[in-house]
Amino acid sequence: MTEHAIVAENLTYRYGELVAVDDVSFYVKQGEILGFLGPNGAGKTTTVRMLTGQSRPHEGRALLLGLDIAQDTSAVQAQIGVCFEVTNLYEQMSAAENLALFAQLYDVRNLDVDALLRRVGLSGRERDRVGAYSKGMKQRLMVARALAHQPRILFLDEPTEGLDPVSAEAIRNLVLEERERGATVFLTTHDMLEAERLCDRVAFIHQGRIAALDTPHSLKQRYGTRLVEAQVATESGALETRQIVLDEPETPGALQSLFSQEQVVTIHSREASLEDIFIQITGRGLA
Amino acid sequence: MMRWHAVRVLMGKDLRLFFRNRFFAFITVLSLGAFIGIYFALPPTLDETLSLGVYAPGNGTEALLALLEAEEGEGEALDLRLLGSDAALREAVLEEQVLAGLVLPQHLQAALVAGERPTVGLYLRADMPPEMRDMLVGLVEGLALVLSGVPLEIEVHAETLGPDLAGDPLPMRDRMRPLFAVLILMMEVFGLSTLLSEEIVTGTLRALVTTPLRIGELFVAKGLTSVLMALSQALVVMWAMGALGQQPLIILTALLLGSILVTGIGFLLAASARDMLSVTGLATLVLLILSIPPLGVLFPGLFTGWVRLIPSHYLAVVVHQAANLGAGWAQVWQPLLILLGFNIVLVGTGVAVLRRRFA
Repeated sequence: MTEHAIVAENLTYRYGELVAVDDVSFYVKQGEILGFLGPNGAGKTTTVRMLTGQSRPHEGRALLLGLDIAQDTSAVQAQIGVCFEVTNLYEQMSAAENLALFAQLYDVRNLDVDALLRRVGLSGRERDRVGAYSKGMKQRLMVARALAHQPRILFLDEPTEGLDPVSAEAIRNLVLEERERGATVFLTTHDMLEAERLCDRVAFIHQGRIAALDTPHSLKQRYGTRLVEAQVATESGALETRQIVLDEPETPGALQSLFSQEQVVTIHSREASLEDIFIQITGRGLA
Repeated sequence: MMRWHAVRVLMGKDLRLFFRNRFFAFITVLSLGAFIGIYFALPPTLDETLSLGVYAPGNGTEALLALLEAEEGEGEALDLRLLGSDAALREAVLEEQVLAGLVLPQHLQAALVAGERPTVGLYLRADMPPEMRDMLVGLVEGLALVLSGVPLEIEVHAETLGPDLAGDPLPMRDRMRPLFAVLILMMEVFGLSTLLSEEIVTGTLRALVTTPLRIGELFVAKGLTSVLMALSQALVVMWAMGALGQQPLIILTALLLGSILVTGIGFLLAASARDMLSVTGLATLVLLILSIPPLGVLFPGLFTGWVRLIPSHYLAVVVHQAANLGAGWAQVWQPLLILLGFNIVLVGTGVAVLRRRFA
C-alpha cells in the first residue's frame, strides 16, 4: 500500500502560449488534507483537472493511489470524488435522482440517499428539482454527489466560494469528517482562514508554480513576524496603535518602556496570517 | 471493454431529460400529429381529369364536338362541358370550374376542308403550367387535322419504363412521404444537439467524465438515445402513412441510416453551437438544406445533379422507391450504401469535433 495518495511529478499544462501549470511537483499523504492556495488564474483548477483525468498534462505525470491517471484513468476515477468550483448538476432532476445517477455510474448499489442528504443538511428536499435550490444547497448537493461512492481521495475546488456562513460551515465539517473516515482531501481555496483551520499542509501556487508548501505552523514560523499590538491613550485622549516585534533582542526593553511611559488601553499578540505570508512570498494578495 | 450498464444508465437519464423538457415534448407530439394530420388531409387519389369548357355558337362545329365527345367517352381523362355563351365560358374558367375554355367558330369544319385557317379561341387559367397549355393546343390541332381530312399517318408506341402507374397515379400525399421522413428525423437533431450543448455549457459533461465512465461510452449512449428517438418517431409516422406496407425491411433500414445521419449532424451542431439559440439557428439551416432532395420527389425534374451532394437525397430516394413504387433491394442497395458512407463520415467527424471541443 503506497503511503502517498497523490504524487505529482513535473506537471505542466499550457493553453496555447500561456503556461497555466509550470513544472509542478508535490505529494499528498493518505488521510491528509492539502490546501492548494492561490488567486484566480494561478493554476489551481487546471491542476485539479489534470489530477482527476479531465485534462492530460503536456509534461510530467500524476500518480493517484499508485496509478498513473493518464494510463489507468477509469480505475483511478473509481476511487476519487470531485466537487467542482462551478455548479454542474442536472437541474431538471431531483437531488435523489442526481445522486442515484452518479452512484450507478460508480457501480454503487444500495445507496442510502436519505442518509447522504442528511449529512449535507438537505434532508426532506430529496424530491425537489435541483433548479429550485439555492446556491448553498446546490453546493452541498455537489459535495454529497462527490461522497456518494465513499472515495479514497476527495477533490474540492473552491467548495465554500460565495456561500452563506451556515452552508460554508456545513461543508467544512464534512471535510473534517471525511478525513476522520481516512479519505485524502485535495482542497483548492483562496480563503486563508479556511485553509488554516482545515489543512494539514498548504501549497501556495502563483503563476503556475508552487511558491511554498508546508504546514501552516511551519510557514508562519519561517516567514511570519510575531507582534504585540497595543492601543495607548495620548494626552489629548485619542487612541494610538503601537506595534512591537517579538523575538528580537530589543523586544524586552521596548515592552518595558511601553508600560512605563504610555497609558496602555488594550494589548494583544498578533501572528502573521497565511495571507500575510502569501503576500510576503509572492508579492501579491489572494483576491 | 464497453460498460453497457453505464451506457444504459446514461440513456435513461437522457430520455428522462428529453421528456422533462416541455418544449421538446410539445414539439415532438405536435410534429407527429401535424405530419400525420397533413398526410390524411391531402386527397388519397390524384385527379388527372382534364375539364374542358366548350362554347360552340351556330352550325358547323358538330363534327369537332363529336370528336371531343368521343375522346371523353374513351376514358376518364377528359370532362367536356358545353356552355351557352362566351361570357359563361370565361366565367367558368375564371371560377376554376373548368381547366380551360374552347371557343369554336361557326362553320369550322367547312373552313378546314376549304383549306382556310379559322381561329379557335382558348381560355386558360392563370396558374396553368405551360406544358398543359401546349398539350391543349396540340389536342385541338390534332382534332383539326382529322376534320380537315388529312389525319396524321403515324402510330405512337408508348412504353413505360419502371413501375407503370398509368391508371393508378401516385397521389401527392404519398409523394410527400420522403419529405415527412426527413422532417421528422431532423426534429431529433434539435433535441440531441440542444441536450449535448447544454451538457457542455452547464458542465455536467465534465462531471460525467470524472466518473469511471469512458468518453467512448458517453458517445455511444448519446448516439443510441438519438437513434432510438429518431427511428421510433420516423417509424410511427411512416406506419401511420402506410409506408411500411410494401417493403418494411427496406424502409426500416433507410430510416435507421437516416437516424444515424441526423445523430452525426447533431454531434456536429452540438460541438459548433454555444447555446440553445445558436443550436436552433444552425439546426434550422441544416433542416432547410436536408429538405431540398425530398422536394425533388414531390416535383420531379425540379433539381439537377447537385442535389446528390445532400445526404438526405439518398434517404428520400429509397423511401420513395420502396414505399411508393415497391422497389426491392436490387433497386435501392446503391443509395443505401452511399447513405451509409455519409453516415460514417458525419458521425466520425461529429465525434472527433465534439471530443476536441470538450478537451
